[in-house]
Amino acid sequence: MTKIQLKEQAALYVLKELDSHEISAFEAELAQNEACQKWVQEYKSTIKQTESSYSIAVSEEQLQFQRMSLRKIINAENNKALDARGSHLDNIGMSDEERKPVIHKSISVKQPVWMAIAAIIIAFFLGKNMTQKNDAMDIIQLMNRGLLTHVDIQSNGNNAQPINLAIHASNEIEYSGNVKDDLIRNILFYLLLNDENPGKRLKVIKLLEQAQLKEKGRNVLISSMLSDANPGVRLKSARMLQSYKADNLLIDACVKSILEDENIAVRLSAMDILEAHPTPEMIPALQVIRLMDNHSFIQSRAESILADFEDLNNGKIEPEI
Amino acid sequence: MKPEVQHLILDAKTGNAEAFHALVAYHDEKMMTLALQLTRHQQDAEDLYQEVFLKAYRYIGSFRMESSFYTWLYRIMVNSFLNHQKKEGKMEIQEPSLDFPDPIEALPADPAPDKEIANQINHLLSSLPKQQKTVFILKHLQGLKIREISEVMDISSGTIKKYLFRAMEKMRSDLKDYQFGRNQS
Repeated sequence: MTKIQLKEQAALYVLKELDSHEISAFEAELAQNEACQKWVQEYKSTIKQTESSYSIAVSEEQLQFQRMSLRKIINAENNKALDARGSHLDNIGMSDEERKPVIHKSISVKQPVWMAIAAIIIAFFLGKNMTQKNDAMDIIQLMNRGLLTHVDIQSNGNNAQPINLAIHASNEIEYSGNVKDDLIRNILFYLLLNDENPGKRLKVIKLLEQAQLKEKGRNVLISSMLSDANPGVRLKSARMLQSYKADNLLIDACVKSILEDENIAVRLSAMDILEAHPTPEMIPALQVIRLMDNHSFIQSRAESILADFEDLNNGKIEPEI
Repeated sequence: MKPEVQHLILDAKTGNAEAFHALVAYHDEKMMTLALQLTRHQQDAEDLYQEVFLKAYRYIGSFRMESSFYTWLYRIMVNSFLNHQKKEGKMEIQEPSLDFPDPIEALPADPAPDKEIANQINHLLSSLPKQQKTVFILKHLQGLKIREISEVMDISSGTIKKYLFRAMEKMRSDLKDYQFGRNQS
């Protein structure tokens, strides 16, 4: 092997780009060749120095700025493409007279001023409405993909007035509405189940308290009571669930919560639900709770509900199922 | 390729801009780092970033998913960078800009690299032929395998090895006096 070939092998050896056969052959040479040993040492040192001198840390702020710029460019490009398509469609099958912009007719200087003002006002509200619709579509898409993040909620604390949601996901979207608005509710549900910030989840659940939630809302609350990492959120969810009729799903969820939740307040709230809507189906669970729960107060409450059933069933604990 | 990335790519290929932006957020840190390493110039790196992702957006429909998305992005970036260098002919005379952060300051205090060596490394890398420099950066600073660099640059592995060896040899030889001369003294 020539000197150049040996050097190349040394470089590739340092780069870990030799195959096992080549490594064995080169290491045999390396063991007896001082020049080779020196090159390996120098290549290693060169790489180490270069890596440390050339390392670059890119900040998240810098990336965010670039992402925003890219988004603007892409949006502009898409809008341009849409405009081009629109003007193409406009020109199909239209006479020269028809191609004249309609706006010339509606805000001609020959028309009364009030008409022009009215046209501007209508255009403003239509435009606002369209923006709101577009943002709603964006929000739904982001939620479906689980990409809706960094949602800021501005609430005036009055459910008759709009809750303003300023949403900063991968772009800036704003949406306003009150808790009776389906999309607002869906955003709140989404945040309750997905937002990483427990403070925000608590805020969300307080906002949801203002709404008269239906079936879907109840299921979200059950999910939150069973799975939220924050005991405050679980407790709030459990308390809100007390206003619902206790069907099998809710009873099962409460039993699970009583048996598994580490937080005594959450377990007590779940117990309140069972107590408010006693059904024979919950008797086996109550028997387990009476025996197993590590809190004497919960045990005694389970005992008390079971006693009510005994009274109802002439001293028999077995439900009439 | 991770399933979620694959899913985003498929969505982006159907024209879903949000899926594409999610892909950008997933991949752009490495791309910005590479842009900075290649250009050593903040504004040029940002322009390169925008150019690469805009091209990716326009042509994602032609991405066949035979290689990783990273490889595809790397290829766009390297081609864009080399084309710019070719057009402007500024590769060999480009000096690191003043607004570019000092590589020494970006490093942790311990172990502190010798500033003189760092400057010499900057100078040496800038003076390498553009193909050699690109291969060297992809290998050492981006951690790509020769096989991957070959895919990115559409050059045979044998040629990549030659570029790499020449770059390393030039660096080794020129840095020898700085590193080993000092250590010995």
